[in-house]
Amino acid sequence: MSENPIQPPAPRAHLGLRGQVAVAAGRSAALASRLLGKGSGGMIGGRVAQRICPDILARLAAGKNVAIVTGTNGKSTTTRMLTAAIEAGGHQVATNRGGDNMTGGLITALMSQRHAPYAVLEVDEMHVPGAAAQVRPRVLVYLNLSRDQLDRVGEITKIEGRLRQAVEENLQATVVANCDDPLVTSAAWEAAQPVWVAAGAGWTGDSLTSARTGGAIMRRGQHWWAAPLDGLFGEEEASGEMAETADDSTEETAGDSAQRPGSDRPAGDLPRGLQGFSRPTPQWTLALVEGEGTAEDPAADQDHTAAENKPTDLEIGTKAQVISSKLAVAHVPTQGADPLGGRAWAPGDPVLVRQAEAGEWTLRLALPGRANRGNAAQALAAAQVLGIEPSAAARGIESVKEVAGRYAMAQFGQAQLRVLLAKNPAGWQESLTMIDRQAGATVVAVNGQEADGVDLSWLWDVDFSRLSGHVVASGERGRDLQVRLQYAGLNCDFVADPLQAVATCPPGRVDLLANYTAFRDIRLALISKGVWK
Amino acid sequence: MSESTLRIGLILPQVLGTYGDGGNSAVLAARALWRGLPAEIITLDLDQPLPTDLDIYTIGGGEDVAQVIAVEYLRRGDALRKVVEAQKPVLAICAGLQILGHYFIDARGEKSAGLGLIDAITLPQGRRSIGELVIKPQVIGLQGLLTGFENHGGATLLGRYAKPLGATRFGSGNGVADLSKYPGLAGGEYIERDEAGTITLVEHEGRPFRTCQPGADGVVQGSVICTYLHGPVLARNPELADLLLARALGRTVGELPELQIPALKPLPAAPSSQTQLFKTLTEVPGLTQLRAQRLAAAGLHEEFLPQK
Repeated sequence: MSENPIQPPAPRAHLGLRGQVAVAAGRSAALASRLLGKGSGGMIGGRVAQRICPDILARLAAGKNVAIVTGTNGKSTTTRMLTAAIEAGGHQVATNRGGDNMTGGLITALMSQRHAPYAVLEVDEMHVPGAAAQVRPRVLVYLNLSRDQLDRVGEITKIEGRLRQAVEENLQATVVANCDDPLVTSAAWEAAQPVWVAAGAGWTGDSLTSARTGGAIMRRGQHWWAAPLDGLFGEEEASGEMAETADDSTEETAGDSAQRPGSDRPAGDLPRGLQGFSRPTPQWTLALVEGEGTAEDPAADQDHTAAENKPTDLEIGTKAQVISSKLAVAHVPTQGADPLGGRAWAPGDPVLVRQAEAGEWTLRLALPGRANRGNAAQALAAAQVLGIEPSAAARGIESVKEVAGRYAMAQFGQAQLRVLLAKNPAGWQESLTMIDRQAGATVVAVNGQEADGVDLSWLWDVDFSRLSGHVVASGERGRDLQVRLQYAGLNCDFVADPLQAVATCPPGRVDLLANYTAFRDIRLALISKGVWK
Repeated sequence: MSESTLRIGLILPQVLGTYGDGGNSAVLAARALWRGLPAEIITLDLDQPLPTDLDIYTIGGGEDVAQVIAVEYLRRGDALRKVVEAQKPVLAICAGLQILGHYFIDARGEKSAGLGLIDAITLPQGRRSIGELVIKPQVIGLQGLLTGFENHGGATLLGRYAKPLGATRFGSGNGVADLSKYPGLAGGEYIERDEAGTITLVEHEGRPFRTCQPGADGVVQGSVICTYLHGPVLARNPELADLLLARALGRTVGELPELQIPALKPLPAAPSSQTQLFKTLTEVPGLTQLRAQRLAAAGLHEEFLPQK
């Protein structure tokens, strides 16, 4: 690998003899694993090294500028974006590309780029305090928290607690946190140096109660605040007042007081330090670009018209969240007050990323979906903290075209196939904004292995109404999905094997949406068939 | 039933919606509509009082804090009590079950008052029951096995006025309370230990609640049906869905019109955009296979097949 002349001198970490032996053994193990075709070597190498030298992770990370990226969804994508941003700034970066986001994978990543001055590490949510204790990050990037494999990991409040612990134990770190997510905000609330990014929340279903205050999270437009339980239903007047003021949603200053818009009640019995726990004022926001049309999406027309002629701050003028009170068959899942109205975001649709003081940058992401606009904003904010000039960072972020095969288009038989990954309800909700309405067919593949979560009840919280045309349910738990889609009024076929399901589709564009292990198997199959590299 | 539309109340999906149980209301509505019976789902949120005049109510599962919020909401104006006293069908799942009892104690040992609408209390199991749950229902009108997924740390103990929904064939259902990790939990209440040191009785208002009713799941009391079955339970168990639907409509299951589900049928040898032709199905396609799969995951199979 060629050295970049303008790169700052690589830090000399003091691995010590034991550390050097560990790294050599780990690298051999990773190589052996790759050569034997047992895997990418992403985890085994690190595990071997750790066995020899238990604090190898700390030794490898010493002297590096480390960013940890975590959250339920978007970890791999944001890690790629931040890595690309730093590289665009002219620096080498060590990063775990394969999505091996536990200790072994982190060690392998740092071993493989020993002398890179920067490291961007995707870390599993539950492992953040442990990893951070070793690598002492300069930046913690907290994306979003929602339920993911409830039956395996436990309740979401536990994860919020882990992330909060990492904040409390790493006062050296700047926390780049999504303030549209109350759980993330709660985790980052006590950060010494928070950078709040309004990255959006496509899903609010898991943050309706406040993990910290024991009360409810109340919402109006983009704003949210914690209300104590006492008095939540005491004053019949309160809800009426809320409705009256619901149209003039404006940005409130953070921490201005315990009084929130629409609520003239004091914060009451909230614990000290949490009075006024509410959405902080974001330093970074997203906005639509003046005069730029985006992909046609009939579903978003109403929200479109208002935004046509002027740059619209997505923070302002949003409609209060309206939960439909009368439905027929469809059960409306819990979606965030997204001013984009769940519209589709195609690759190339421009978005403005604004920083209150530094300026604004237009990003034309090569990736689809609303969530990736939010991921890009957090990557840009984190890059700035790490000293990367934002316009360079922006070019780097735009250069990300696929993440481990996701988003990329490939010819498979008669199908122009694009594969999307969704691991949980929030991820599905976001992925459905990526489905190409021009695609003639959609295959949805669902497994229920331990890594996916064996309880698939959440399928009923996902709004599949965006699907249309030829739909095929697939995967090991495709029958759960088939029944779900039938109840949503969608007629669908069932073909157990996802790629066989693609083969049954009419020739042309096919979107294949898969959950974790289904995606993993599809990826391996496509690689073995030479469709993917 | 109000006028001609069946009105299904979906109680606090934003609070008790963690486990997909909102799907139960969608199943009820769909199975009514597919019979030509108008139906609508009324989503009930925190900012509006609970209406007492709907035809059927569903309550889902959620987390500890959510339960406390839901109790506060449902207690307001004694609304849910009025619903139950009016014999309206109520389906409550998991956390929804727990809040209808006299009280529930969460995994941290914190005790919260329930609504007292079913004769049950919930204590910690000391562990979580997670996995497939299959029960043989003990309710007249239900013959097939009920399949679902359980995920709870609470053990629900029934008093004499409450009956279980069914006997477990796989999984733990109402579970077994284990107070060994919670010294002092019982407070002033009377707890008796047997020779093995197991707590056998917990007293509430002068009446005993057995800490273990092995092999039971759920609660049936009056018009209230509760269970630990997620899935959602009505998606996996159409027999239970139709029983609730019939009760909400004031009919017997036999009096319900046949399901007529519009479906598309591929035409052989035609391009896909024109491959489809309407046909009508009398049950949701894939449901038989789904049930067989889930029962097989518990080492079981259908024991009763409805005659069609």
